[in-house]
Amino acid sequence: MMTIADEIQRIFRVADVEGLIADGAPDDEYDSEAVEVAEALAALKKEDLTEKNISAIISLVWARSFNRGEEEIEMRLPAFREIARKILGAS
Amino acid sequence: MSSAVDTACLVESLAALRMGYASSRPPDPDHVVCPPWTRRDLADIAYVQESLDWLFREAKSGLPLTEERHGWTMRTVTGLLQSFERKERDYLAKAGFNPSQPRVPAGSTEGGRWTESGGVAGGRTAGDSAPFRQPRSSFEVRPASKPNAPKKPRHPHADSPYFHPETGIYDPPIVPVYPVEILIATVYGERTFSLAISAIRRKLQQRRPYNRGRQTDHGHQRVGDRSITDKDIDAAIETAKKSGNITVKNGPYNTPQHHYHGSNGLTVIVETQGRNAGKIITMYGKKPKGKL
Repeated sequence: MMTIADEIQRIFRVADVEGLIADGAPDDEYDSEAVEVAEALAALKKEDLTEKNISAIISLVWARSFNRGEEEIEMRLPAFREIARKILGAS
Repeated sequence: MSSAVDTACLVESLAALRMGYASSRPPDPDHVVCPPWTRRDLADIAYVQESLDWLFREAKSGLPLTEERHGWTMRTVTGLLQSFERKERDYLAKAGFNPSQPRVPAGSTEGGRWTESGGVAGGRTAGDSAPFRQPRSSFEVRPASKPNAPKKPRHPHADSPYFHPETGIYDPPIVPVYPVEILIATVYGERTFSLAISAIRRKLQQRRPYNRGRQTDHGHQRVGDRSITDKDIDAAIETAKKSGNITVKNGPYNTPQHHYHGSNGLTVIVETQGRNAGKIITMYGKKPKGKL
């Protein structure tokens, strides 16, 4: 049975925000970011599990992990929102 | 760089910034945290410190510093240092500080203090722009106290409503500091930002600062997960350069990248422009011979 962390890993893999998997990187490329997001979501109350909050968490994790600045994060916001929607749908 | 006025405040704020949190309100990058330094300045100072650490490690590794890999960082750091110096000089000039004012010689309890007579114009020359403390008048009235009693330093945030005198803990609310955090707070609202940063706070505290030298945090994680060494990475880049097996392309958000395909089977992706210029974002492929 897939856990929510597994599901988030799968969603990140499919989204391939940085295009690294398409370039040939292994499927586990974004697993550490997915685990970090899953841990953060586990710290939220159920009523706080909203697209907005999840998207903000992904943005913060991404900014740290990939050393992205505000303009770069802004460009990726639609992708993060899409991921957040999928996570909500999966949880 | 020396701090102009309140060293303790500056050091504490920098430590807080490194953790990704601010030490005071409001979430405004131009808010003055320790005069004359604003939040933005402190973030820049933290960036300069990390960049200098990285450059030092790079130089120490024996590889030559090159324009392609280090030029952008060196120019940015130099520019920032010059702007810090200018700002500090202007601030001190406005405060009426005279760097050639004499000081009490070392060896006495007053040693090092600025005085109006009988001291030495020592230590720092008129050309120095960054004194370590504010000038003091020799007519200052000092409280009578035991000469050798150690004076407990006053906490820099003792007057703050977020300071708990019983525990000595200063616990300010989490506010956006880095531009990316300000962006998130702007796009999603303060509450969402606060909630999101709280959710990942424990994780953030376990992590080291943004800058991991030549790799992004993501790259560093991949090095660990995939048991790849610095030597493997250097070998991949070197052999790819020699054989010309380098793919130049743009990432999905138009970030220019070089993909080095090393003869050891390792592919190393390096971004070549922007804040990650010269940084490895990931590496993958067959492990080098003997490590499979």
